[in-house]
Amino acid sequence: MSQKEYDLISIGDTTTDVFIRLKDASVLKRPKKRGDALCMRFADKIAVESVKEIDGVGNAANVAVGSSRLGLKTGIWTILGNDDNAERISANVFEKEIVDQVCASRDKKHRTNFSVVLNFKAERTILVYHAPRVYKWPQDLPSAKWLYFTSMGEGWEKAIPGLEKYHKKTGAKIIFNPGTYQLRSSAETLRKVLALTSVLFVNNEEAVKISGLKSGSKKMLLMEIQKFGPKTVVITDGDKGAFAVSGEEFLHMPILSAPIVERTGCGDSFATGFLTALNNEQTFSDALIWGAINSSSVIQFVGAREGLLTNERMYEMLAKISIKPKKI
Amino acid sequence: MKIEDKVFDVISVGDTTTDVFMEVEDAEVFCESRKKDCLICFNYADKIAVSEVTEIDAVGNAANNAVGSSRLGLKTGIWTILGEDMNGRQAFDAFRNEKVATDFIKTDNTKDTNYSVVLNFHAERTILVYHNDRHYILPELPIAKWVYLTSMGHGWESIFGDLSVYLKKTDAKLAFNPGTHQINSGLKKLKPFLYYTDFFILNIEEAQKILRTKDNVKTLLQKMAKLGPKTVVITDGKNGSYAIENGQMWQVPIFPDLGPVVERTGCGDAYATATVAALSYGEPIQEALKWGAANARMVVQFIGAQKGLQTKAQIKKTLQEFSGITPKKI
Repeated sequence: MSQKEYDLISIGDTTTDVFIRLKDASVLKRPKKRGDALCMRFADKIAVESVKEIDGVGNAANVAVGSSRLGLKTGIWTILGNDDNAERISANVFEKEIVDQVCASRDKKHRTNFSVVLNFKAERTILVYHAPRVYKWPQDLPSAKWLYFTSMGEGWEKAIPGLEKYHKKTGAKIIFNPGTYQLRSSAETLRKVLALTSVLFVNNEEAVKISGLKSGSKKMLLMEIQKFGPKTVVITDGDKGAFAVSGEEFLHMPILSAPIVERTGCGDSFATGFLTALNNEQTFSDALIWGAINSSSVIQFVGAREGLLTNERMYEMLAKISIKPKKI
Repeated sequence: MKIEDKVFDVISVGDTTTDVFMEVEDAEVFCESRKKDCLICFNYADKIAVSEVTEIDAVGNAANNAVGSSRLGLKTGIWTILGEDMNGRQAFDAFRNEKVATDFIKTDNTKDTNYSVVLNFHAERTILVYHNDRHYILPELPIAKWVYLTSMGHGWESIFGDLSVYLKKTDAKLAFNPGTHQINSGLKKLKPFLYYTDFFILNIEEAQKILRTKDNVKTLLQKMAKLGPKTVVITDGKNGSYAIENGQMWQVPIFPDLGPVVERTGCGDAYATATVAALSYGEPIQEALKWGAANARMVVQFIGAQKGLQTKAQIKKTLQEFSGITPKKI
């Protein structure tokens, strides 16, 4: 394989997250299967327990920062807005974390994406602002061993032809972790990306949707998804851990016990650990351990970035872990 | 020039916050009875789409007053407490850009900058407020014509000793526009401050709350004036504002809206700020109230408390345009 400019380039949207812990709220039952509602006094001032604003997160940014910390030469193509958050993300997150902003894009008309995460009782209710973006594939995207393609907003399909060409021209391996908007697209659109994909990361719900199966074991899900293209598929399933296939090897990796503070970034950190291990020519089985270790660290902090491990810390943790994936 | 040599027109005293404004679409409002006791509700554990977000550093009553006073050409400083975080640093820069002296700003390196999320839905604001507990100790302040005291959190009354000594020593006048916490702390804690207050401004609901009465505005003005303030101004939304000074009462109507109201945050601050600025320029109270109305009229045309704050020249232009609006003796 010819020398590539980057180990990994991450592609997707970047956001600022504000984490708020509510106390003065209630969860009300609604009739007719409408699900529960989170309610607060209307048109009033409501004191909250804590606030934490975190710039430069989102699936693409989390994976880029995580990979860089684990020692990969990492770039990101993401679109930032015309505001202070964009400046902060650029300087205080990407530059500081040694993530190159390849083909840096600024949307002069709209602000940076922004979410407020309302933590109340066990669950998160997220107020999401997604700026309307134009996803024009950058012609000068540098070459990379791995291209991590993840969450983007409406109009993301416009990037697919560019992705196809880039894959063909550079031979980069495509890793796909679809976001909300991507999963809402038609099966046909999704399958165009899956056909290019080497490694797919999804949660259980997403796997069921992509597979088109009504029921079946994890193994059947994995096998069905493989048919669309990806040789390697990882399904993360909350407390049950990760179920994965690579070629014909089916494995289950349980979660590593850790005190949970906040779950955001759990899947991203798993993917980051996993693909860094693959890049470092670790086995499929070991890659699952790298993923689980990285996740177990991230959930011990508020926000997706703080707990991402460095290469050094990863090896310290690896030495302590005796849990291994089991065949399924 | 050293700080000690400077003479300020206004020093603002109070808390600073970062405000995030969100236009919410997927929400519902349920009311117990006829638009009273309402709840705003979202799908729990779900993602809720927001159509617009604006984050604004260096706001809050004191910050709005400082920025507004500076725009009106007054030499302005602020005493406030910021956190040692990104929003605190940006607030610091924002004050500098607005030519507000930052020399007395205190940085609390143990806590974050105050932060609010303002959820706009059906033209009403539901505000999620994060107020850090602060340790308030008034620093040595330089000579100023006016001190503008406003919103602070728990423990605010502990500055009374230092503030009263400063006012006596320097002959500075005290303008007081109480914040929610200060109003809620009750008349007993407010009284010593009111005794020293030259200019007291608040809205009619706040006045009724402090005096625990449903009195009309004239009675409220008279009762408030008895507590010490030389001038009392009560604002009453669309009915305009009312003032009492030396026993004489005035009423000034609002100026016509420039367009549909966009967002009301900072309306009261703009009003109070321009009124105090006019007084500091030597205008009589009935004229000063028109400055307030002219400033408030512009602030509601923008999201956030500061964007529409006017310069002295802009105010003068508006006053000329509406020279027909005159204060009435009541």
